[in-house]
Amino acid sequence: MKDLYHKLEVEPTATRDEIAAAFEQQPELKAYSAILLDDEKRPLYDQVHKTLKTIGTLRFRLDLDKSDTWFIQRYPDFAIMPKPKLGAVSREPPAAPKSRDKPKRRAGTRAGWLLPLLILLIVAVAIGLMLIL
Amino acid sequence: MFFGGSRLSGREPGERQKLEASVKLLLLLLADSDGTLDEAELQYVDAQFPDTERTVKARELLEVIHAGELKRIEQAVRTLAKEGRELRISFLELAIAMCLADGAVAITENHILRFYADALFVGLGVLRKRFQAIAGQPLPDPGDPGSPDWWNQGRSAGGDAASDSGMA
Repeated sequence: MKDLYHKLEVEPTATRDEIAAAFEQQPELKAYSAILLDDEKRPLYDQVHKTLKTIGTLRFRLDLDKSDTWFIQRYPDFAIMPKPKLGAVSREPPAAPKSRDKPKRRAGTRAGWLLPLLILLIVAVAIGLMLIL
Repeated sequence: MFFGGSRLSGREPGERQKLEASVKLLLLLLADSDGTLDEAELQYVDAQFPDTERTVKARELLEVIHAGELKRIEQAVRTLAKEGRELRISFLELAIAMCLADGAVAITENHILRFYADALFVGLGVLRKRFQAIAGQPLPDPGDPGSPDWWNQGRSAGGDAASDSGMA
């Protein structure tokens, strides 16, 4: 079953007018308007939609969301994909830091510690040579 | 047939109450899924544990479902999944019987039964066998009320997909 609300980018609580407007924005989904704009068909769709959402979330939480299960194969719209093995609890990718939050790398930062090290090395070699001579 | 009784005897009260609450919660999730939960079904769920007085009542647990507390449902599944295979299958049989009490398994109930079979490590094969044994007919395909074709084939909002067979 498809998650029509997700495809239409509306909430499951959307009004009939909101759904009709969403179908106008996405004419390729027009065939499905016969379901969501029908006062008898929509309640059944909504019941199953809610149930599949619940099951999809529970499967994810219970680690039953492996890619070879019948649920993911048949109901990909409602399956939360497996979390990364080394990742955090959230399946959301870490948000990119806003530009103002990005640490600014100053030009020559790396050279900032390389230069004293180089000078130290030269001085050490020079002292070594002086001692040898 | 009821779930409690001798099979739970000898358990610590706390452990027993936790299991009872879990079973009730999972049965209620099933019964409430088609939007037709009534007083008789609430009583049926409570009647599964007739010999206990302090267990949480079905009506209170219904609030958990209506509030969308998935964490509680997840815990209930985990609690039951730790039980022995016989008890897990007994639960599944009870769930099947409850679905069939009104004559046909609703689409939402069908999905939840399949989820329970998976989450309780019983498997779809066992679910199919038990369903066939109890219902006298194969477990139907849930059907797809999100497909115009499904509706065009004459399905009704009642959601009875009993004529379908087979499963991907």
